[in-house]
Amino acid sequence: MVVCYVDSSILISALTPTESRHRESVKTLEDVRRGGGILITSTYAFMEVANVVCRRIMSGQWNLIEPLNRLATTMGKLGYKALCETLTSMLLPTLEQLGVKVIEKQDFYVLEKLNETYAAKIFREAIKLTWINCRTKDLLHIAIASLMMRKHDAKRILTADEEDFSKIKKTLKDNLNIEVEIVSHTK
Amino acid sequence: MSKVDLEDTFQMLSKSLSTCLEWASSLPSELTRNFLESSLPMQFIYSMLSIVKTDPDIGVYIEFHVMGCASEAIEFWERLVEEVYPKLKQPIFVYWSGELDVNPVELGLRVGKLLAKMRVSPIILKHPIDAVEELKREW
Repeated sequence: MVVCYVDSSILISALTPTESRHRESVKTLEDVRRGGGILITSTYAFMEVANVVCRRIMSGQWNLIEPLNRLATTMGKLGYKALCETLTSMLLPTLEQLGVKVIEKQDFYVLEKLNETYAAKIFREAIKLTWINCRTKDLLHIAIASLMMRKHDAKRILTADEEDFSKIKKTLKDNLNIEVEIVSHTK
Repeated sequence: MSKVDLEDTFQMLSKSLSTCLEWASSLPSELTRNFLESSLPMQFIYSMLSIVKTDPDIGVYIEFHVMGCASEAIEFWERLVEEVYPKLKQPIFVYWSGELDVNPVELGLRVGKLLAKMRVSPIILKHPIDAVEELKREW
């Protein structure tokens, strides 16, 4: 049974039918589930999704279809805080329906010694992995996946970020035994 | 939700549904059949208006406009999704004209669950996006 860590790009893709890889993302998630696999994600990935969704809708850059827009407009009348709280809460049941479980572990935030200071385990792990040479946001996903690999036996990262993850795919496999599956338009 | 005289309400609802049926009759026969075969249980008869609409992304859907507060409308919506949606198989949306008496988190969770049951994502957009590009704009 394979446990896959789903990153924020796949979450947005699977949640948004007009996203360019939507069909491929949904199929990838379905294939994992059909094969008896488990899909997990982190609150960090969820936070990224929530922030993008809320910011784009607040700014009017993303236009929801009419029946959803009407709900958003109703909430928007109460202010951005109410709108974002509603939108964020609406996302969780949909992720559940896609079979993606948002996992958080208190243990990830336990302070651990880092040289002469202390750091939350998650950041300590990220700092230890800086040699992988990737952007900070990707490093955090990798650190989480690495910790989840130990806790939940996660073996694979699902991402749509071809540009960044194709460069480190082999490194992650050879050194951390984490497989990277990149969902692209042409899969 | 203000309960009005049942007879009057039923007549109003029948009239409203007749309008919908008339509209639905012009749609493909399967949909029309679905719509004709489904009937709203009596307990759903409140003061409301129902409209059949179409959207390029979700297809045909039904809107109910309830003259009541949000909590009543959401409760009504939950019952519709539980009892009517399985027969109709068309997304149902309920809007309210009264007070918003549900906190945003609870409202989001309950509406999110309803949308998930109807397999409607809460972020269906009118336009294309690229998830990777959108995320990169934040970094």
